[in-house]
Amino acid sequence: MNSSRPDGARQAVVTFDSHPVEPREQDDPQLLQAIARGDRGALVTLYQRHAGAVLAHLTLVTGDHGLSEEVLQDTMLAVWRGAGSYRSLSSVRSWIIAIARRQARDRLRRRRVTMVGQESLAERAATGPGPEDIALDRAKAGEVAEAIKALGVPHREVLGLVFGTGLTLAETATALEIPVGTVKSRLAAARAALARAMTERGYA
Amino acid sequence: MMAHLTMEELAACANGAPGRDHLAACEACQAEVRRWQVVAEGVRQAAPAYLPPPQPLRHALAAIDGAPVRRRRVGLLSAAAAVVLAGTAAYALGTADRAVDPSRPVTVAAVYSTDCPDLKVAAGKLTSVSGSTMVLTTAGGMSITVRAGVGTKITHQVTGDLGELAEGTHVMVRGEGTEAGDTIRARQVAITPDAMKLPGLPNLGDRFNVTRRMAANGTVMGSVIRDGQDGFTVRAGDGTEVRVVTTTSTRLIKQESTVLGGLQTGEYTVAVGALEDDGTLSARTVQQNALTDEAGRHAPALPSGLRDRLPEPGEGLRDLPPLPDAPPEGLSDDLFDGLGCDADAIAGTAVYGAGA
Ligand SMILES: [Zn+2]
Repeated sequence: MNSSRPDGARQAVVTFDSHPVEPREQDDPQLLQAIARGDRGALVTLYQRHAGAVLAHLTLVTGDHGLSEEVLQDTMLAVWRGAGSYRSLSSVRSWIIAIARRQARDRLRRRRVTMVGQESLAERAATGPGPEDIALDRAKAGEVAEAIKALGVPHREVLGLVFGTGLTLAETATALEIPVGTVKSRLAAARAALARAMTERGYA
Repeated sequence: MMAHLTMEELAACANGAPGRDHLAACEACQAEVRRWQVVAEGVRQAAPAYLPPPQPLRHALAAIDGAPVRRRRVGLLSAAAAVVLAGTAAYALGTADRAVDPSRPVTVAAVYSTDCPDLKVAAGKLTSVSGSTMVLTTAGGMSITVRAGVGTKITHQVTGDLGELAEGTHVMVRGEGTEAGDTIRARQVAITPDAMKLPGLPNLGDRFNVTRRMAANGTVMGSVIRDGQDGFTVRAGDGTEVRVVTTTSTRLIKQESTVLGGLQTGEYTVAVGALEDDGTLSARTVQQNALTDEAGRHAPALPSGLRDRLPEPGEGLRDLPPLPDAPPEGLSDDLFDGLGCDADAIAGTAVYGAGA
């Protein structure tokens, strides 16, 4: 056998653009930028930050925890693929929820279940305290929680985003992809529907 | 009197925000806030905030790891997917099947799955080392943090002496092949780990010998079976024997133990270990390939499929479809099939690029 020529000092000739390692505490838009660069850790952090709220909301709207977990999974994949399309005009959480809604719609469509369309919902303006409010004046939270299940999806959505997820009305508008004015009228209509449902259930 | 609270303000108050001065003086607004508070409490009771369960994240990450979803070519030679073609001259056999629509963002895997649920593979350029942590950046530009512990086995490539070769040693040879693919004049001989997977080449009989085709393009992998004056003979996975001629300029490359600080940044590095919930990889094995990656590429070329075309009568092995311009990014998705939970074998396979 021949002996080899020592060549341990070979230099790498590759130029290489690396991404700086991000510090741990990043705000949401920074996390999305990192995700857009393929940083798995950023996706994990984003998940820990928002997934609980998104899942709670999905479960409220669909009434199906298992389905909601599937939708959450689809949503995280969609976030991974679409992180680069985020524009800072909206909060990241409302952006994620908008994605989750579309994923939920796709899942439900595949299951041949239709969510109540927005257009089928009559937006009722707030009319101030009326007879329906009597039900709310005497209601307990547990009764309200029960009555919510009787509401249509658009009503559950708007209530869930404003009071469950804690979004502002503007963020809710982004998540639902409707104008803020519609959020306000839908919120009032949802409360009225809730009061009616409670009356029908004999809570009032 | 000032205006009543707006819907925005009512909602904020129901969520615990203090109201403006008007609220203290207006019974109507106080009643409205109370009603909204009942609604808000009901909603929170109906939709309690969950701690995010791990499964959806795990499943999403698994789907990400599996991406891109590749459609496999259906063809006579597809059984030989992921034949090793680590040298520039050896690309002729294969191309990776990839999405062709350039407008569609292609998700490239950050880590690769193996047969072993607990072992993932990160492979790419070593970007930085800090303490017991290093960062790899994949061919697709993704970065992944890898942690090494006391039990982590770290090796890198060093040059050795051809005299170290013995019968049975597993090698990957690169050099200039003859047209017939029966002899390679070796530029370098890499000793590959015994545990790594040798390519299981399809035996297509006399009509088309994959080992000869690879050898014609300058690469053979297999075991040293005979030593000789000016070289040795390698038997490939399909039993084909290829004569390897060595000269004084033939370089021997082998894997040797080192520490994290002994690794070179900028070089192709493979880590095998457990993927933690924070997205980092806890490495069991780290191997660096600083020497055999001669083409200066991010990763050895590991095409996932062979071209589904046989030579026409009278056509030479090297007349078959031209070499792709560039190796595919990353590793093929079936590279680690059959390796189980052997971290060293998985790492060696990723470094030297054998496939089934
Ligand atoms: Zn008032």
